[in-house]
Amino acid sequence: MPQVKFDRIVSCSSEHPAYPAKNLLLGRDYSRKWKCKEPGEERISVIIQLTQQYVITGIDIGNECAAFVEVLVSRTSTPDDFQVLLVMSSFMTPMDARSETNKNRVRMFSQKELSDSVRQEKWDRIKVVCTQPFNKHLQYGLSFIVLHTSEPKSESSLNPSTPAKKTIGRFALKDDDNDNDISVGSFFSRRKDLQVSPPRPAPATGAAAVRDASSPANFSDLKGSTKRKGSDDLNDSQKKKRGIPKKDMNSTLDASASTSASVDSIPKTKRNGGTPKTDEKSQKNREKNDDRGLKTLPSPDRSKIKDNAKLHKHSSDDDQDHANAAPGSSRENQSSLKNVTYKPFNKLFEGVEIVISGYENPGRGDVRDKALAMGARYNGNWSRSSTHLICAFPNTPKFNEVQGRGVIVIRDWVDDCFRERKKLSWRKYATVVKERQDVHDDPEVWELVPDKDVNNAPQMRRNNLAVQDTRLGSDSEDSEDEIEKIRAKQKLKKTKLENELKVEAKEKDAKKDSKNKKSEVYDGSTDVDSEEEAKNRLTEWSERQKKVTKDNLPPLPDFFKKKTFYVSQDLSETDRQSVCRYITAFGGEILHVQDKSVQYIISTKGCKLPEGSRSTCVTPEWIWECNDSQRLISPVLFEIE
Amino acid sequence: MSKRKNPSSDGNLNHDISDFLSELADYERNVNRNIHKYNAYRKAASSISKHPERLTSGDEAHKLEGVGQKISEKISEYLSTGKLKKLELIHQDDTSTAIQLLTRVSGIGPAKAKELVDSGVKTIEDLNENKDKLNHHQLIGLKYFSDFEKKIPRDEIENIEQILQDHISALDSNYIMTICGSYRRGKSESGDIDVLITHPCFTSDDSAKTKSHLLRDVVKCLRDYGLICDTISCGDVKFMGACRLSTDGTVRRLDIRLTPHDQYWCSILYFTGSDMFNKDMRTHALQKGYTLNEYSLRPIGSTGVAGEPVFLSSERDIFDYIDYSYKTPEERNS
Repeated sequence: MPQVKFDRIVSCSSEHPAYPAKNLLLGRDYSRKWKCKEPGEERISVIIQLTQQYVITGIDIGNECAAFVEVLVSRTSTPDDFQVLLVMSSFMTPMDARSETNKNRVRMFSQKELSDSVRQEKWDRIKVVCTQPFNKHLQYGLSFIVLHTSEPKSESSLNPSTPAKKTIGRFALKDDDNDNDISVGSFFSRRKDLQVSPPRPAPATGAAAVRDASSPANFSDLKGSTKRKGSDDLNDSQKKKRGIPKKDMNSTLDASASTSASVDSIPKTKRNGGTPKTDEKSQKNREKNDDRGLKTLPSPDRSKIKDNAKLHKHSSDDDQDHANAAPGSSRENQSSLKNVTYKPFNKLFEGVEIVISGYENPGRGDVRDKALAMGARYNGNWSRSSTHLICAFPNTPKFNEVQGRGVIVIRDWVDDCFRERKKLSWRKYATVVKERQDVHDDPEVWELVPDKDVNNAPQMRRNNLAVQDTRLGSDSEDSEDEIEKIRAKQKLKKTKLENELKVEAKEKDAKKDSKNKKSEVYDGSTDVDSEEEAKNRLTEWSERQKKVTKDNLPPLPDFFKKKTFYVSQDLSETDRQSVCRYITAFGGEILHVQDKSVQYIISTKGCKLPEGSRSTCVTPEWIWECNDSQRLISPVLFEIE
Repeated sequence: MSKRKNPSSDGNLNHDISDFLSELADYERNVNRNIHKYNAYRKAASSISKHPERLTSGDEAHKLEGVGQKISEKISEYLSTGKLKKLELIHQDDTSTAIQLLTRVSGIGPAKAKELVDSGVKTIEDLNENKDKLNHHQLIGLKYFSDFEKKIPRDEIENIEQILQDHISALDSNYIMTICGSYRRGKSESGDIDVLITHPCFTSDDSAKTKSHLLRDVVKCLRDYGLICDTISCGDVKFMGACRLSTDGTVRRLDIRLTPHDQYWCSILYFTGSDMFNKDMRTHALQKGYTLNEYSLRPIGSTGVAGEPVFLSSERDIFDYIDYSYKTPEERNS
């Protein structure tokens, strides 16, 4: 039975800020609740607009503390003329309510339980009314509501056997199989498995990726399919580092360790760089190096993807800390090149239809959105058009259903494809470990990056220091933590140096930080289900995006670009390191000799400027201030005479 | 249903007042066929019978629930003169007394009584001569007229209950049986015997037709035993007839109802009564947003459509749902 799609919440009589009615739009997989604002409200209701007119043939309701739930229908043309579709139905007895047990009963109503005259007609608006007269201390609402429709479906069942439905009285029983996959919504997934599963059209938009707006990695990805090659640059080392695409605790720990190590090493590299490099080419190389170390996105003058061979050489030469690279990986990479076709990022997964099994949210939504962003379609259940089952472990019901019919891989396939911006061969990612092979019969699709875009790439880089670290594994949450860690560290260093005058600015900063954190909590990207929702999120995100930019988080502009700096020896070692790091991070160049080409001298004491020098001598505070403002501010106030 | 539903006179200091109000009530129902006046008199009679002190004036009565201007005037008149003009007139009116008499026969209601009186049949003797005017039910009512008029002592019903219990459980131990009515409310005597039976295999999802054997088996068994001596009617879920403990004993009205298992508690509540208590309870249920009848308790939706019957596991659950303090059957006599 196809599912009726919800368009929006028209109104609701009462909602708790943490459990708003719009959670109901998310569907059953998310179990995000709608609750009333105050406990003991007599009657609460919500009106939901459907995307079109439907004949409603079934209703699934997950309760949240309500004693009775009623569903009414109407049409947009006569919005107040509600007719009862599902009469007041009991979800909790007075006893349950008082003892606060059985709060989340789920009931599924079939068409014959719906009101006779009403169920035959088409409706595009529903109203759900809940009451809880028995316990005035309960904040009640719904866990979810799902409507089914009988709209004709294009395809027949793929299920070889559809077990007879068991019923007791009016209640349908779920099939009693010994399945360990008890995750949120799995019950319903399986219920659907038992029925015909229609293909759900999934528009190939990258909209879903906005969910990861809070994650800098995806942040940058969204910024454009136009500019990025950074991850490609990293491919070689990635490939070396990833033996099999499997995450474990140790590798994650290693990853974080090495991340901080590489961050710490930046200024050192700079300092050890020896003589000033004015040579254009060597500077380019160095920048690449720095970027790799910083794990930031590429600067515009990066080499292009097609310089692969060169890059490959580069990385093996320079990345001594990557010495544990698997031998022969470069050959593997080269050989795979023969199989490669190029496509825009949002079409990498063209023709792929994924079905997910065994992953719980937020990971589930994450995988789905990444795949959608790359142009895959998503289907709740395996259908004839499905191609890949993203399955956590063997023996889920979907696994058994799909085995022998399609590709079954773990989520790392999607994660790695997304990160590397290419459709990788699935072979190494087979859910069944035994079937993992290092062969490349599955052609890879790489992101097509037009040359001109490289030059026009926005002059913005993202402050996602750790995200590009391939050793971190796929989980963007980890990356997020990592970023937080690094930022906290930076802040600590900075704080040490802040003088009294900066206290105010700091407070402002802290406010921004907390604001940002708060928005991360509520705008978290964990619970999107439908494509519509993803689209909604896109608008939300772009609005938020503006705000975020204004709040100077996390974009990291190139405002020091084409500026040259000399860091005086009179700075303390920690200051020196921090100054160097900030200058590098914002695209500036640090020279190691104080000559005429130097524009800014960073010093605490002031210094004697050479004759005819255009240099400005400023305190390190100027750097902190620039960082705080995320732009180039006038050095006048910080100049040392 | 017994013919007379008047407040008991036990411990009722105002029983003479409630008696004449009940008589007026019967008059309104049987002769004038005005059910609303009947209800008004009954309500007044009921609240007066509950009044713990002897009324001394109409004004005093006026303060009681259900006693309005007209009834308090009648009470004033009765208390000051010892009689009621309206009642005297009714007693003098032959038609009225004849109708009142004929309606005492089981199966003869106000309409039939009026029809009979109009055609000249005014006494029980007249009825015996005009049996062609009566249907099966009315003939049985006539046949056992004097027996049915007699109240059934509680111990006799206890004996009948024992017999029913033994035979029904011998038939199928899954049967559940309760004698409702005034007997369940603890009255010392009753007008008839109301038996409620259910069986777990019979729920409201089943068509009664497919389960009618449940009732027929019981009736057949009791008839074979000799308890049931006459049948007025026997459908799928309701038997009406007459019974007696011994061949020379008094014949009693017996009703047996088969109710779906999931509706059992609402049925018990309903058939235990009293009817005035049921009215109160239903009114209370409505105030709490439920509709209650002999089948189910259902919440009323936002547009007034009754919801799905709630699940009940005892009579007490009904009180629980509608937030009405539980009353034992003995407390439901009002």
